[in-house]
Amino acid sequence: MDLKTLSAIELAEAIRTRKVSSVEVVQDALNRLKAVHEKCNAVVSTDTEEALAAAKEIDAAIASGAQVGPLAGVPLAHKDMFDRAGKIPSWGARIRREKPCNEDNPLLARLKAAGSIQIAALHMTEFAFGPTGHNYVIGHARNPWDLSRIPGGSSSGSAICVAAGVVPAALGSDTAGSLRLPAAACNVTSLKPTWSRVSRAGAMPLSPSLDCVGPIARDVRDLALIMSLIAGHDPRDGSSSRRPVPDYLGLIDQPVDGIRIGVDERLIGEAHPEVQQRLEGAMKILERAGAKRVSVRFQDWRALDHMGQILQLCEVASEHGPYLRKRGADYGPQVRARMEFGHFIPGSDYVTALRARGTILSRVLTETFGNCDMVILPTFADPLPTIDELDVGGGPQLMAALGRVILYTRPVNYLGLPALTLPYPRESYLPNGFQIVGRPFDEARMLAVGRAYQREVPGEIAKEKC
Amino acid sequence: MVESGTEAPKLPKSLEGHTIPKERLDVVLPFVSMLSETAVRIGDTLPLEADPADFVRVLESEGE
Repeated sequence: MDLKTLSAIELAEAIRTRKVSSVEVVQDALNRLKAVHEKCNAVVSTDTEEALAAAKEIDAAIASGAQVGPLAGVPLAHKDMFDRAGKIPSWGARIRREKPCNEDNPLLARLKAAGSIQIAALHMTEFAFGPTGHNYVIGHARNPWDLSRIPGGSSSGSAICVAAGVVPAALGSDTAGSLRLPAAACNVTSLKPTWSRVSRAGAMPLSPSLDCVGPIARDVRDLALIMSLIAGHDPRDGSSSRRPVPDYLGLIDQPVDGIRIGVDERLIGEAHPEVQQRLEGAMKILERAGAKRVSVRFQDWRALDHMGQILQLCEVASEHGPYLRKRGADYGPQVRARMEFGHFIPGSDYVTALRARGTILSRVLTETFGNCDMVILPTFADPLPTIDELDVGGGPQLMAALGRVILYTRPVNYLGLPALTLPYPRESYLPNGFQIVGRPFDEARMLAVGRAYQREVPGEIAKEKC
Repeated sequence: MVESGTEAPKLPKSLEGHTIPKERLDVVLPFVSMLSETAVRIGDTLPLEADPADFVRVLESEGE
């Protein structure tokens, strides 16, 4: 049994039926974690003893015939931005909270209650404020498919470890593309939920108006299972939605025949020709699965991006102002430079970006989604760059270079819409991916589309380099 | 303070004690001005009663 290729659902089944023990699975994951980290700089801290002790408990519970959760004994690892009782998350930074956390992040608590075992806290861009995987404080992360290439960020370690078969799934966050870009760069899948669908309590805030927490996995069915566990109202996050949570996994094989996927040719035309060609190939696969292509148009995509930037830059400036004034030298050059912008944005512009959001979302739902169910867009505008090509630090090219990386992702955060990233068929290309953007709270149907796509393009492991 | 510049704009109070090299300020100000142009253009189209709470109302009204 090649453990690294199994999904979370398959691993849980193998452990529950005692084809393999949780201790064996966790030890195998820890071994692989070490090897991958040496090449990719994917890990911040490892929980070896705690993980193996938890695995022994799960094995004993199964042996005694006890009922166990749907992820019993399955190793997971998450971006190092979530509170964990007795620990101090690194946030990918030098500046950290002074005292250990009192309790677990509620999402980690739910995954733990389902039987999963956290084996490590993973690399992230400093304060989750960067889309490439560069981190000038804890070191740049590297792509497991090609060590000279960016792994995407800010949930870099999560995507790397899933792609390299260390764990089948991981949590990350997405303020402007931070789940989707690393998933695309590392040839795996991710789901940025509708804003408010998943609690952000106990997760490091970056820009609360935009922040979302969600899963990365190789198999869309694992995304569905994890969403079923983490979605829903949380009294610790007053903004979390009170809508009932669908059975995402139970709905994943629903037919996708006739689902209308919108294609905005003008907007897609801003991408590199290779990306346009690969997106067209992905669209053809979706059509073979039963989807219908319709033409759509986003009005003024650039304005959506600017509105999103205003929210992000102002909220970051406010949160980090005290640290920037007192401990500016503790920031890496890129994050420090980006944090300065928000201090120069007029308060009236920030309020306009907030006031306009409902009006603009309503218009997009009517005009763009008026005759389609979801929209297909690239995730990256360009083929995957090298780490050196995007090593712009805090220099004058910073905003232009990063703006190009986030071209297709940040506007989706401003709209608050859900987005599922799927990898293109890899063929002879470097990894890259596209996104399916849906209507609010339509994650179940989007996951069904992803499942239909993966029947033709299943997830795969980055085993060449790691 | 602003390093090595002459007649550079004063930094906002929220950056007191922080240093921005003039060459970086020369990038920041035009960029922020570009964002501001968009905000003003969008703001000009908004009704007076447009409210930040509209966003959650529109999100949550989906499917009702």
